[in-house]
Amino acid sequence: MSEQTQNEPAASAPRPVIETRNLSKVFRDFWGRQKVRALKALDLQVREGEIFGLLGPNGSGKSTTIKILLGLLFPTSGEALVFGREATDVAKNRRIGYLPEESYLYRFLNANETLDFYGRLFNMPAKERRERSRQLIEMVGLASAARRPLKEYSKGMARRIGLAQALINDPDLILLDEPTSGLDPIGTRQMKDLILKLKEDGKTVVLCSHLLADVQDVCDRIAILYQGELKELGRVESLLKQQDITQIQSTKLSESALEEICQVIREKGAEVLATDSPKTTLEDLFLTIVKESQSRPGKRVYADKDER
Amino acid sequence: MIIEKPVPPIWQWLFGGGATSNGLQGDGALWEFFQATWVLGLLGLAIGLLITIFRYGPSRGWQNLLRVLAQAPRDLLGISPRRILGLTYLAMREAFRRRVWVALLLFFALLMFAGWNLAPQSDQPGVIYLNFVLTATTFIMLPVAIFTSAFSLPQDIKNHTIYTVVTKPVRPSEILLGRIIGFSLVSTLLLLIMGVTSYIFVARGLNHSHALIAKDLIRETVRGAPVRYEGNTTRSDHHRHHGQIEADEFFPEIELQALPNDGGITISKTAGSATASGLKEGDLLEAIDGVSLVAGKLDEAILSLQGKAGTKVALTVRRGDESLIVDVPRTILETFTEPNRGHKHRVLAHHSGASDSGKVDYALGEPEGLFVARVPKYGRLRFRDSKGDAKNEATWEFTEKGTNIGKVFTYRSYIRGNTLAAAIWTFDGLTPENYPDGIDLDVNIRVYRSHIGKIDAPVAGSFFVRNPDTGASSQERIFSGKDFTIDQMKIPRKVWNTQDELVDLFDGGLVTEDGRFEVWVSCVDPGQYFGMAEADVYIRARDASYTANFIKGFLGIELQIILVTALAVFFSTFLSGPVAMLISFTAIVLGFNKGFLTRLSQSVLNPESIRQMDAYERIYGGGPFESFYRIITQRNLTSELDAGMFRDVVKNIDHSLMYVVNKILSLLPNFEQFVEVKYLSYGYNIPADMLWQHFFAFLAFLFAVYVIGYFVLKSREMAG
Ligand SMILES: Nc1ncnc2c1ncn2[C@@H]1O[C@H](COP(=O)(O)OP(=O)(O)OP(=O)(O)O)[C@@H](O)[C@H]1O
Ligand SMILES: [Mg+2]
Repeated sequence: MSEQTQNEPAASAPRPVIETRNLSKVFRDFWGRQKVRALKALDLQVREGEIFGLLGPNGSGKSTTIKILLGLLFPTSGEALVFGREATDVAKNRRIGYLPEESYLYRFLNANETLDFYGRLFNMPAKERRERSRQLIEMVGLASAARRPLKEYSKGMARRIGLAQALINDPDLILLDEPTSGLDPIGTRQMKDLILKLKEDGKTVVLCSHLLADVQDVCDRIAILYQGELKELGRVESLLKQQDITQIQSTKLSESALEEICQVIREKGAEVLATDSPKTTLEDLFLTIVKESQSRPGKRVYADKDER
Repeated sequence: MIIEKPVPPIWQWLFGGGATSNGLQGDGALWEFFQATWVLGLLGLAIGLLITIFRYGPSRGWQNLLRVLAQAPRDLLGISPRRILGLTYLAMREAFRRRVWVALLLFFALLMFAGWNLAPQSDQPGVIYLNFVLTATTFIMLPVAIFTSAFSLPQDIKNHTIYTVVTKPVRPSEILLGRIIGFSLVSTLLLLIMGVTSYIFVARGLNHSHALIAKDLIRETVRGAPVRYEGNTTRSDHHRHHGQIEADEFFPEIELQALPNDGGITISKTAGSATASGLKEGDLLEAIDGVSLVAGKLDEAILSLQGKAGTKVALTVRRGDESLIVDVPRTILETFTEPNRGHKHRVLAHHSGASDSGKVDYALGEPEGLFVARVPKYGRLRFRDSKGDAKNEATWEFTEKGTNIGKVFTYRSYIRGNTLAAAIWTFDGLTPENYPDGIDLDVNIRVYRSHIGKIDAPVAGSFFVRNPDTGASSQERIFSGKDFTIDQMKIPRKVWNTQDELVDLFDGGLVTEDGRFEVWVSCVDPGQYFGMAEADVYIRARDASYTANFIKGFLGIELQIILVTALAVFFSTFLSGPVAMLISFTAIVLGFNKGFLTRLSQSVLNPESIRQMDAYERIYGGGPFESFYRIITQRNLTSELDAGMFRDVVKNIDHSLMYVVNKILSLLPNFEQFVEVKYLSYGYNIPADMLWQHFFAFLAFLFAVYVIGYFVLKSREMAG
């Protein structure tokens, strides 16, 4: 009904889909005593059409952030806005898809019934529900198991139907909590392709994952959390760029040609560090930050290195 | 069962006004509802604010509250049928997965055992059977409803399945409604099955038949010709009936119906021997024993069908174009055996060929009158005291020594035997059209004996009818007043008046022009008393459909079950499954005893108020702790406790406990009010007004549960 209201200021081109301001979350026990400070003054902006990765060690607050954005948890202080609305407003859910850490689905329903149920929750008419369920089941590769109750599903299969469930409403914003966990390599590949395809369709994706290679492959920007604090935020390429190292990549370079080039570099007074093929370096970055944070707790100064 | 207060019309109940003498407050229930909503709303706001300030600090607390309030109207009103349907369907699936149908197995097993030994000797087997099935249904369904609904939401939260639901555009209000509706539908289905089974079980369990065997009958003759047979039926279902058979009042087994616009008389129903002799339904009756019928005179036609058992009557009928003559035996009697155990049987002639002595074996029809839905028509009651002065019931006070018989006197007033004291009921709306065969009066009198006499001998009473305008009255009739039984008395169309004339009830001046008359009841035995209340004597205006009444009774159970479901779902919004279940059970136990507990807490909180209560409602002995103290010190309920610190401590504990109990009670539905079941089992028609009243009370409660449950769910962190 009030779908239009949040379309007011379209001032600067890609407007933030998600915005958190000074977001904190403290878990308390029944008596109000503090148990855990899961998030500390988090400021984030996710823009329309980007793939945003949340990284961090176990218990660093990634899932908490996502849950607050969905209204499953309420912030202790600060604000969380999604599509410009309060995260607690259920109306925003119409444009959101969510894949939880584990597949929390009704185990006595089968795949068809599951998607039908969630389709109803989006107020979709029967015909549309049927059509959409068929497509999605096909897409996640469960066509042959569509009539089996979910309690018989393997972890990966449950993950797949969870994904289908998250996409049932063709959402504009998709929140994926560890999307590739439990998937086989093919599934992982498909998931990554899917995420990229979603981006192509203009959707916004927020994901958190421990599989750094996957994150590096798909994410435009990442944030790294450590014990509830934001330690790094920026575009993946610029974060990984090492200013004092130049990498030359070439195809079909012969042994002798390589030797010649190395010779030239040494003559210029520089040093040749390595000549092998490039490898994942997000991993290194991740580990450096975690190590650094352990030795020096507190706010880490980071430059949001994505300003174009 | 006695209906203490006639049910007020539903509009009066809702909007107030109308007569206030029947204990109804001036304001309607609707107004009370708005007041309660207002108070509860404010209270809820205050509590909500306190909690959120405690959790989030003052400024953020306010903010949260305002935000929740701002979103509430849209969430509460903008619910989508499709989403609710989805959630409803899910709840039903879940209930079946929890094997609710086990309740059915239990119910069937109970019926099977009950079928063997359910009150074989009872005087009122109908009441016992109905009570049994209705109680069994209620007490099986209540726990089932609580089990299914109390665990559902907590389970979803525990399994985190709620995550994928609440992250869809689902309102918390819809989550509540979907569950309540889903579980209620399942209960409805179970109730429907139990209802149909119960209906069949009761009907079949009580169905039986007797026979009147020729050798058991005594013949009564006049000048050698048999006029009457008398004797007991065979024994069946642990009882016999006495029967008296007029020799020549048998009829063929047909029913006649006058067609509209003088279209003649048609045979609307044939059975047994009539069908066997070739009659068909729809045949047009033209002549009886060769005598042509006079158009429109159905009564005469029926009279000329009458004759001795086993003889035949020749009916000339027109079927299509042909006219035929059929000899039909007279086999059924227009009379019944005497009632026993609440029912009677129609007498059928068994053998068509009567012997010389005229004695035949008779078969008896199905039991009749076991299952009734009496529609009482109440009158207004006033009294005349023993000196003959008028007393109004409202100001009726006992000045004579010995008339206060303790426990029950304020509900019933007692009149003393062999004095001028009388109880006078005035009935109105009596027309010959509505009561063509006279008026059936049910009299339900309490007897108070000031001396025992023969304890099982009834106390004699007398009654007569009187025209309130002219004073013309009928002759007194003596009846025997027996405690706890309903005496059925018939005031026939033809009555003897005080001038020894046999006159028509309506035309003879005993009923006023505008259809009023009085019934005067007094006690004849000196020294004994009759106790009367307004609802004790009523005209049995008509019998409503028993089947419809049965359905209404089950609707009453249904309302209770849905209430309990809603209550359990509500508790499960903020409690864990087992706790929600326990609290729901507690709530219904309290709800079923609400009247008692309210009076108990009043008696502790405000001891003075006891004096205003009716005697039989007074509760002595204080709250639970005081009572316990009395038990261990072996003191009776009314003795004063010795002053001292210990007494004060005990009283204070009781006081605070009862304060809390009182507050909780006022929030609970009053299950005591749901007495549809009683009406049904005691054979009274359940007034539609009462069902509506309960329905609206039920809606109000659902509304409260819906709104409060919404706010609880809304302010709850699903991943917390
Ligand atoms: N419901 C809860 N009650 C109390 N503490 C919680 C709750 N949920 C999360 N926490 C705590 O909050 C912190 C952040 O948890 P969170 O689930 O956000 O971590 P995460 O980054 O998703 O970790 P993982 O990589 O293991 O999924 C942890 O210390 C965790 O113990
Ligand atoms: Mg997590």
